[in-house]
Amino acid sequence: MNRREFLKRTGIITAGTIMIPSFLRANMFSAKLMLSKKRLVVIQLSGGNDGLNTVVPYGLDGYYNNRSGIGISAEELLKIGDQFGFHPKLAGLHDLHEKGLLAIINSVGYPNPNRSHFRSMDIWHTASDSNEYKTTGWLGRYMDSNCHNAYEGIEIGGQLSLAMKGQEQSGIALTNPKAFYDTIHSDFFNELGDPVTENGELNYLYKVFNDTKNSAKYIFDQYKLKNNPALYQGAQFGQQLKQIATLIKSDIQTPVFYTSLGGFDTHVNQPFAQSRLFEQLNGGVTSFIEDLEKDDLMKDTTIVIFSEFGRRLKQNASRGTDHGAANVMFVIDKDLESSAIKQYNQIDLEDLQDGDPKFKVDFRSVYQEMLAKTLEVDAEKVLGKKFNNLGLWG
Amino acid sequence: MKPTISHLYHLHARAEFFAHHNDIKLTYSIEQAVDQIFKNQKVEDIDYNLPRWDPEQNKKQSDKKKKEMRKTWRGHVRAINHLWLKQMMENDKGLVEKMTLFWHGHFACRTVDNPYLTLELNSILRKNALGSFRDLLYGVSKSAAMIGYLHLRQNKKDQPNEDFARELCELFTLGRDVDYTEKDVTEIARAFSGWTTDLKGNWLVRPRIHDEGEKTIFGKTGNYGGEDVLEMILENKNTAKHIAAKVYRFFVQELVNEDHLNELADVFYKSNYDITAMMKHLFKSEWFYQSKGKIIKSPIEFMVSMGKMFELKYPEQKTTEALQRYLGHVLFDPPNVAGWPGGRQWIDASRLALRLRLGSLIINKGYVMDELSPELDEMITSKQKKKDIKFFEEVDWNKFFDKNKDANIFDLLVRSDNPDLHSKYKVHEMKTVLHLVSTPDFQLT
Repeated sequence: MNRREFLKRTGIITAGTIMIPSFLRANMFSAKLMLSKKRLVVIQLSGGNDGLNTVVPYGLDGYYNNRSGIGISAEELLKIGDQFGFHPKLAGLHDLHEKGLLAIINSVGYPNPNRSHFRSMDIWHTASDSNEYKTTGWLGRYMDSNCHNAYEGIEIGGQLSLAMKGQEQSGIALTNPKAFYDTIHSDFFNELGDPVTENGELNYLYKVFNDTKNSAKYIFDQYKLKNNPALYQGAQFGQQLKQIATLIKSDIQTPVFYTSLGGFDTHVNQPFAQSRLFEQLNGGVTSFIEDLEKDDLMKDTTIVIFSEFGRRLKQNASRGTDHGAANVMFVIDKDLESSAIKQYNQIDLEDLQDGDPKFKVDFRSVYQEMLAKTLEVDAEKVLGKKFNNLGLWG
Repeated sequence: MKPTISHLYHLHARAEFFAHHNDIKLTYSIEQAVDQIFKNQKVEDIDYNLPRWDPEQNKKQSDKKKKEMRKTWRGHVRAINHLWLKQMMENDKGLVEKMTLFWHGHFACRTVDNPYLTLELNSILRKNALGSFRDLLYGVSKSAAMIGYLHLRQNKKDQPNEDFARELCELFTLGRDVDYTEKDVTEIARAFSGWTTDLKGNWLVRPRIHDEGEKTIFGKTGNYGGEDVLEMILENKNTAKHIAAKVYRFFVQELVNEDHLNELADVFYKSNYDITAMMKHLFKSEWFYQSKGKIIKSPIEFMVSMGKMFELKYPEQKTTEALQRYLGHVLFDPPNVAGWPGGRQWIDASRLALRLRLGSLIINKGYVMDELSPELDEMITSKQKKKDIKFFEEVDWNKFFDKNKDANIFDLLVRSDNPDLHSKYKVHEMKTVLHLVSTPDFQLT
């Protein structure tokens, strides 16, 4: 019996879990996350990471021809078979792949790609079609139908991403649990009650206000519980992941975490910039997984890494790349199907559209499976339609 | 109807941004009060001195120079953004500014990369903000900004691009799935083929790429051009209704009352799309005065009304930029052509926390009250961001209380009728004001 069923049967499912008596919380929720099967940790690489220099198709005709200045030589690559190799700075990810924990999904995108950062990111966040504008994110819609508290979706960052915004229930963005708690907790705020009014907008504001207060307190209380001494690589990005790990270790009832690493808009001198960013990505993710493994929590965690678009096959005149379309995506999870780990060979450098490798996999197929297998919810209800099943989890 | 002072606070808050108690004239009727606001509304363009730009010269530039130029351009747009905010705050023609802000959300167009287009489009919105919607629609449709943004230049006889045609119907005029079909969109795109601008930004139709064939649009067949389509669209009353509904949600309340909406649409349509006629009708309606406190202020409204209340000299550009970014409302940078979704979408946990702190941050350097922890919102305290925020100048409290001597401070500052607060705050002191601007109720207008 999962938590939701338990609550239903005992008749105490209410507007917020805050209402649940503390003895019940202590008994029911102390062990592990019960809201869903696993936790989902989303990592956004902002700026359009060049997927072709991430998992490099060194064995395919067309790679070196088009990238004479920025192509990475085969010797440097961390090989995965005779056609592909990881960027040399991604040793940790390569290792995860070797161990069968990381699936590479190549040629991910959507029909009629839009090469604008902001429009493309919107499409990834809202899971809309390219000619459709949605105001809620895919995780926000998940929260709308499955969550009652802002803390059930936590973004480590200054602003809440569109992906995490629902119509009724959105997640919470913070950079530091203590600072956030201090922001919203004061004698004055504590005294402001919950007025009964007929003004729907005012009621909404007080609902968010009280939810924010409760969530900030809950998150900070959980965070305080855990003194996490782990040392993280990956500079600030590593610290963001450390905050997530610290919260996860505290048994917080948060199924969705979100964070970003920016700076991938590499039009000029890409090799240097991308290497530097990959050191952070690789260092952060490796430390994160090691940290979770210590408490055997990786088995309950799915990590996904995406970027709004890939780059053009041909390098530009300033040792960089311009906005492209299809891209590579990573899913890290202990229960992936071994055949799915080999997805990377779906890439074609001959069949181009406006100079870009074409998309073969709709990104929403990946969302669909994560919603179903990680968060265990009805994906169609969240995404509005059905997509191909990639069989990542078999 | 003889207005109460509370009615007038509401009118000024919505039609403008804010008015001090002593600046409000109690009149015999609402009509007089409304007419007074519409009087003397002078349109003033944002006064920004852009260097002359030679497009021919630009073509010959190296990539590096072009990149530098783009950076300079973005800098200009940021400066224009700041100027507009300042103008909203200092200009006493609040109605024109408010309407321009409304149209900026309706004809949403991202121009953050180009200051020339930014000023061009803003000027079109501003000039027609209270004029004729027909002129406004024509102006926007022929602007270099919108022609670029919605890919009209790529809409050619043999390679149609339907972006503009679709948004024209769905967002700008008729409303989603109202009275038009996918086939109409395709045909409308043909009618607009060849619409472009010259290097100086003047609108023209290139005959060679304009489709001269017959089109069937809204059930009529003819060799239509773009202007014909605009007329057909304006003839359809649903255009008036769609615009009226947007006006209603921006100026009255989220929850639309069908009768009141139809009333508004009627006035708009019968006046041949006279925006002033519609707005006057709205502000003179009794139902408008029942909508007090039922709109969540947009971040720009929040900042500008604060600025007006406390007569702040708008501070550093960096501050206004950071606030716009954190609160999710950056001028000239709408999320997409549908504009800012607004209403409850302005608020989530993090943004509400910031907005609750913002009042005291602005008028009291971040301290809500002495007894509180001086820690600010983490969005403001983190080292990186601290650099962005320069605190606001101190409020001249004597002046503030002078200007609002006989006001009920709660009624003046807060639009909700929250009984919990209403009884609590009558005293004219700084502490009261600080409390009031830190309530969820203060987020409403």
